Amino acid sequence: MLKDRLAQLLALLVLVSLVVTACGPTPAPEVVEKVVKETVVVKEEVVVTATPVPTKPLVLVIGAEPSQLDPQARDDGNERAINDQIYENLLFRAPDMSIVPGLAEAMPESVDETTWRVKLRKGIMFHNGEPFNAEAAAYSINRLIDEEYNSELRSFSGPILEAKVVDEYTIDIITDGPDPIIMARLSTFLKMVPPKYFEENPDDLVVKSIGTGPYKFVEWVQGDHVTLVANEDYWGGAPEIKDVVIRFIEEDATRLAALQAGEADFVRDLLPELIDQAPKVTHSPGIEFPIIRINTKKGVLADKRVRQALNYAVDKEALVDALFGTYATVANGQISGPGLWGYNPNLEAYPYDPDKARELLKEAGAEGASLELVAERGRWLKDGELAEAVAQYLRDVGLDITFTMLEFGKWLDVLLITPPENHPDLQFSANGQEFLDADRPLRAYYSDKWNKAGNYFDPEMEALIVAQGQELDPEKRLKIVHEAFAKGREDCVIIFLLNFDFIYGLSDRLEWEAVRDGRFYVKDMVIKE
Amino acid sequence: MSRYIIRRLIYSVVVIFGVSVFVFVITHLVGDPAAQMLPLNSPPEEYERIRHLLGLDRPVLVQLYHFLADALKGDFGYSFWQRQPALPVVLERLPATLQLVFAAFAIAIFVSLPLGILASIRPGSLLDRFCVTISLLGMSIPEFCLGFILIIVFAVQLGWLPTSGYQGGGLYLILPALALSGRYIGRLTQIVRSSMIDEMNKPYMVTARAKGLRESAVIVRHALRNAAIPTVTLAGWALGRLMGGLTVLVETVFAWPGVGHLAKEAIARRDFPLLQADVFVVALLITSLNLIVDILYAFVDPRVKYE
Repeated sequence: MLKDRLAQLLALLVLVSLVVTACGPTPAPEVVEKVVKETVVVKEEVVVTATPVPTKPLVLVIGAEPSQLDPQARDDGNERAINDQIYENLLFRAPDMSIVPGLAEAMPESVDETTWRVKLRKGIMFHNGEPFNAEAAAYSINRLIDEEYNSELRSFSGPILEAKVVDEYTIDIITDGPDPIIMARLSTFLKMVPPKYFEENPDDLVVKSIGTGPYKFVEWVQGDHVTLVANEDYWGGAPEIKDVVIRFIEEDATRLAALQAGEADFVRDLLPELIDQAPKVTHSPGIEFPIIRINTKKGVLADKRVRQALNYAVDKEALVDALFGTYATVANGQISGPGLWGYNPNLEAYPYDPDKARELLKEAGAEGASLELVAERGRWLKDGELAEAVAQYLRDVGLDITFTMLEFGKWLDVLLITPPENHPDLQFSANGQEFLDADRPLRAYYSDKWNKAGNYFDPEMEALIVAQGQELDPEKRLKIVHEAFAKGREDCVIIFLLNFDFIYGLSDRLEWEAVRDGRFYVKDMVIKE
Repeated sequence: MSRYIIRRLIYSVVVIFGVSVFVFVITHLVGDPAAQMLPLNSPPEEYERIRHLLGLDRPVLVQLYHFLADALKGDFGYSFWQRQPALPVVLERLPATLQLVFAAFAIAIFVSLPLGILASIRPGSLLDRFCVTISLLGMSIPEFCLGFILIIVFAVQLGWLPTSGYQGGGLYLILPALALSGRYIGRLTQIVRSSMIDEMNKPYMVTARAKGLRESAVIVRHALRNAAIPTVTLAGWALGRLMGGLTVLVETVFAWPGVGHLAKEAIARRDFPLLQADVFVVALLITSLNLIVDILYAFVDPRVKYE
């Protein structure tokens, strides 16, 4: 009898499993072909070529889900992927990375050293009908800077103090002292948001999104995807691609599989070794510069000859070929590259010369010195492999390297929280130039005054950094930056490595070219069926 | 009987409490969410500001006290990363994991029962060898490996099924459930097979056959029923393991938005509130499951009641 019971229980368990499984909601219906009638607007004599509307939505795949969609709270790669389609900045970056007017009618004008006047474009509306005007622009800027609002991007605003409304379509931005990178700031992360909606719905922002951009938010299925639809009233003209789905797939191989199976049109962060397997690929040098931070105050590393030896010891060309399949560029003795503002074209990378390295180490009495190299894995392309390779190169010139691989959170602690006197001898890191400008890299690694990641200090260099941060004349500023980079190369503040490309996999029907800052705008994409 | 149940209930509560406190203390001693949240190379004041805002500069025991006080009211705080109340985020992802877990479990049972029985009919035969091989393969191939293989074969090459994603289940559930079930098919087949072989060798089976019963009736009505006891034990183990174990690997490979994947993200980002909520929910599920299995035992084996 009990055995009967048992069998029944087992059967019940299995039945329950089946029921629970079957009771999931039904899968989303397929996209149905739409018949669209194009009406030609005669009054402006614009010829509208009737492009066939693609029937399958554009599917973009990124590696992780955004946490929330308030564009001013956080601007990581995942938030950006979605918010760049919905929100816009006062200034845009053209595909060649020059800064051009966006929601602003023209480039900001300097009223005096600390005041910039911005004239806004007229007739633009947010997706919910709110007008884009000076009130909205000032609100957007002030909100991000407000300490209480607690944006993670606050430090990006630098010396911006506040924005003031001058008239309905003009604002003044006040800075604390001259700000030579104000244009970059206005083009990068200060997205314009609708004041009324954001004020009245402080909690809704986490999941919804309302901007001025070419795409409108439709829905967010947590953990799976976000759906967008074209903004037919977009001030720059209704986009041609009407339906967009952005999916989140963490596993590199699965992302590629989605591309190969025809489920996806666009895949970000494609590994160099998988390039042959994608239908189409586009790539561009990026803004990330992996480096090895040197604790220039510790032991033998205080001797410049030793630091130079470290730079001679690494074969950067080989790293570019072997690890990145040539999809990278050697950094020429600076945290900058061609196309990034501040790049000094007169500097060259330290050539690979292990004999010279050994010679310098001998001169400095540092032969066989023991050094620790701390690294992490998984945050940047090939970071673990790069660090391991560098450790080996250093061993090849006779140094005794202890290699420590830390989990990312721990590594971050060592980089930014640990007091500088406890920094390890060498630490792998990467510098991302979100502003495509030399200011942040200089403050990050060419000085230890501005954040704990730096571990080098020289009064001359410091003077240069401060000066370039206040010089409004671009030509004069460029000269100062060139000098700083040249000095940085000479002093070997870090081990300079390379700059890797952003690589994207595309389906056959999608046409798009990668750009330097690693952002993508669906409005620039074209589908050729 | 009720005393037994109450004892098991108290035990479950203690476990959940213990797990939560343990996770809380360890994560707070080891991690720093502020560093994760800010852009790299932000000035030091920013880190202090955020830490203060999140209450992370208070002593760990003070934070623990506040956490427990709030948790008892069902408030697990706001996720640092998602900026929403943490518990609802976890609960939202729960159905996906449950679907996956129960589907994998159902597949495991449906495959391992026939396999195990077939294997046990004539131990040592070709059929037996075949079934055992399948079971070994299931136990030896890691679920993420199996997952990739399934994706490449069925989604990319043949195009029969989607590669990844959720969409509420349906077709999307098939490959991840298959990948996840492999290990358990392996284990369960072994258990069914060996229990059945044991039973078939017992003296009462001779009686059963002597009665003139058809072989199939002998197998099902007698041997299988007795072999079910260890099988149910292992089935309970399987369900518990599925809930809290390597399911996260399958969730990652297939971009399946479940609580395992969520926990992984929470750990990487040091999102304490989200992690605590996730740990709590999973612990609750597993202890409930164990509680149910323990109660079942009390019905099955009268001796247990008097412990």
